Amino acid sequence: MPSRTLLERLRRVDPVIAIGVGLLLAVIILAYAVPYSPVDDANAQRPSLAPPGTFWFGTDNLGRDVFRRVLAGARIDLPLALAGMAVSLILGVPLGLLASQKSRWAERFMRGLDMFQAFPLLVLAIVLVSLAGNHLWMIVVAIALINTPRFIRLVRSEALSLRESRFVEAAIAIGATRSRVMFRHLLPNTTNTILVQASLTAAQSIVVIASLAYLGIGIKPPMASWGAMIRDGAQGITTGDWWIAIFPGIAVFVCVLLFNQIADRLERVLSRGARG
Amino acid sequence: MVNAVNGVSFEIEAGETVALIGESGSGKSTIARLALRLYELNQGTVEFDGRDLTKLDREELRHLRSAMTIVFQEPYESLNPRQRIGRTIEEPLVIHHPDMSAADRHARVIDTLNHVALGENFYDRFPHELSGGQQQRVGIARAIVTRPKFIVLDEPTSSLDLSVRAQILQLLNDLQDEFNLAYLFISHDIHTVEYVSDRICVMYLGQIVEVGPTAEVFANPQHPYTQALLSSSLSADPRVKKDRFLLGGEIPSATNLPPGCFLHGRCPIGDDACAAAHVPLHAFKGTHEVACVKVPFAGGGS
Amino acid sequence: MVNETSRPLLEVKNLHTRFTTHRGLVRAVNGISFEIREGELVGLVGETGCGKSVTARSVLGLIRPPGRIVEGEINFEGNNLRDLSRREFRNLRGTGISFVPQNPWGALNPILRIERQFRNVIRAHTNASKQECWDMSLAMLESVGIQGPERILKGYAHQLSGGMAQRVVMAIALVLNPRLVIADEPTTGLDVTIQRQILDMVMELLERDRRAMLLVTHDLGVVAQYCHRVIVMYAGKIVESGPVSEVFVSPAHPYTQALLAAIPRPGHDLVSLRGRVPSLVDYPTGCPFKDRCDHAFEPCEGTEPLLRELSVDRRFACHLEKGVTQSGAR
Repeated sequence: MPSRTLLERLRRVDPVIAIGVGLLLAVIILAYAVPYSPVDDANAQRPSLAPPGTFWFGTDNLGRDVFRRVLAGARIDLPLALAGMAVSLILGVPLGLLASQKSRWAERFMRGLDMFQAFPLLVLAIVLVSLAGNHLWMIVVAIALINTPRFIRLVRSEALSLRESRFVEAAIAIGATRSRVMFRHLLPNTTNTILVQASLTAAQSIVVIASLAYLGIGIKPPMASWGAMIRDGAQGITTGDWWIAIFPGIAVFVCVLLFNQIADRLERVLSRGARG
Repeated sequence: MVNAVNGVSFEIEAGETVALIGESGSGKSTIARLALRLYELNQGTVEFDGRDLTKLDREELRHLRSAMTIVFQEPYESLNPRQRIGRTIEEPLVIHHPDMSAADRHARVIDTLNHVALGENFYDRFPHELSGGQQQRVGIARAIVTRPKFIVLDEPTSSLDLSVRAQILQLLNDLQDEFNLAYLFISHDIHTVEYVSDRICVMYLGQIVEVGPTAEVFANPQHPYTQALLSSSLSADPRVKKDRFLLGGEIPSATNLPPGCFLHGRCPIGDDACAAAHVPLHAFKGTHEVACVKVPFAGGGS
Repeated sequence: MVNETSRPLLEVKNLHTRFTTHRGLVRAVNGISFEIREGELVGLVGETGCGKSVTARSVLGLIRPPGRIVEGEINFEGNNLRDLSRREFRNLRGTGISFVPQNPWGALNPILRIERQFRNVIRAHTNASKQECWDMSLAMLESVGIQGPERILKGYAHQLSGGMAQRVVMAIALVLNPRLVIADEPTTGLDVTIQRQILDMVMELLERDRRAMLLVTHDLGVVAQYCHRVIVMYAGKIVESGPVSEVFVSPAHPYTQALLAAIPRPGHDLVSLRGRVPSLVDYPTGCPFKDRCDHAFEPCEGTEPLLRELSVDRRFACHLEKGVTQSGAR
């Protein structure tokens, strides 16, 4: 019978997940492998050329190769999304576990979290950025602000229900300390949910990054970022230069789709595994 | 408010098996947890090895858990599905004997696996790879690895197939002899309890209605509930005809207990005198005690 | 008492039911044949994984993918149930054959009143009016020993205790006078005192109305005390069958004998059965019990023992000529 540790399960990986992850990695590697300099790329000689032709995705109003820009965008958008997801996870999971205890601290913490989440977080992110300055890492902060509460709630909810299970009672009966129960017994049994949520978070983060870039937050021109490209190309749609905005848009769409598919398959494969 | 357990007292000597038998709502599972202070008592004391568990602080209580352990009813659910068998059995050693080296711990776990008739190859397996009987052996292994003095067994064979039950009961017997263990054995099955226990407490709605040496109580049941319980068991020998069954009605809810004797209303011999006041246990014969106004006291009288 | 004449009420011939799972093909039922006569109470016993529940569900037509009946006949009153269309089968359920499941809560709809659930079943097969349904339901609840049936009918499932819920489920199963009742562990999980009340009541009802019952259970005591005949299953096969008074007193098959010996009796040593049930995916050749049997010899390894007659109405599947010799007084 197949074993169920994370490592062994991944070895027997579902093809869709493998393809999805593979593609994403390939894109990131490609993005860095192909050298790109936005300044060098600009060439007033060839503004707004339509695809296909010499340039597969055409050129934008500054003469830059849209294809290479979309690829370069992956250099920033994807790693930022993954970083944002990682930070949310690292903060959210332990807090979620701690909040699942039956203690006054946990109660108060959750009430505090409710109040925190009452703020429209995107607005909060924008405010923070305007106060702290427009740095790239502010985007990661923004994503973390939005997603850490989600991880906290999810992990807490799983942990609460796990605390009722017999093996947790058994752990307490053999004298396990609270932290042992949390990290040896609760945490390993929440990894399924965490993985799925992580994938969904990554998907959503791409959109957040693109939105922020569209608003001019985080990405400074002439850096290539899909959101910024969409913004720059938005007017182009009305004048008929559709390719400048559409291709980065498709890139966002495809990434979100890939992350969602991975999340979906993970959920199915992992829950099937749990049922044995 | 649910009165799960109402004024229950009993003692267990080293090497002895005391059984608690009763149906749902009898409080037997609650007592199992209270005896280890896994639940908090509202009132009363639990003395283990001369120390009152209710007076200990959290750390002291935690350390005592190497000496008093529990085996649960559901073998699969009581094991962490993500943890290998070896680690599960090793965990109490890690918690209570931090001075033990990894090699020593490993050796002790293997030794314990052998004690429960599981081979070394089970060390690296996961719970779902094992059968119900094997899973319960792991549960037992975990409960004996720290060489405790007292084990609570909460319906340890109820979820197992008949052919496996016998194996596990035999194992528990052997371990008790080898390590001089005291057992609190909780069950609802007459046959099992009769086989394993030295003394038995019959419980109904949170109270002990009859207690005494097992052989004596089964040969000479005095409380109507005990009699009903015994007659409810069906022999697999068709030549042994089933007794006429005695109790009518449903088991009342623990939130709505009748005044006086809890069996009143279902009891074939009850009358108004029974509904009047709470009925305490009184001696019927030697250490055989009963909580029923219709049963004579030891030495005559009532 | 039991109708000995004419054809049997239920006749199962060479039933094979399999499940396709990600672990492989699970051979849950492997060529079983048995009969139930009118008014007969038959116990189908065995341990976890022996195929008894799957057998019951196969007869009831409740096997859905990934499960499939791959071979065999299931003849009820002469008609092969496997030839019936879904609709014809639906008509049969409740009136010809009815089912009492293990978990009453799963069978009762939590949001409908009990009377409505009765009515749904009755109206599915007859044109009874609302009043007629009420009367039938009331009468049925009374015969299963429920006090204050009006209150129960007007109420909901969550208001019932375990024992009452099981009685209600049985009442629903009996209300249309089925000729065969199939009950899957109907009293498991109930308190023993309640179990006895319900069993006494059910068996009385069945005998009074001459209904047949196939009682699927792992509890040998229940079968010994309430059933006429018993069928013992192991690894998807029938290993022994016959009158309860004979099989339980002098079992022929080593497995039956081991099962009976495993019941704890004070004063007797506990006889335990070594090993474990064979995999239903990697199904062994020869006798499925061979690895655990104290009497196994050469033919057991490669040749599957077929079910054969030991005496009148007694069958067993073992290579030993006359089965296991009695080991002494019980």
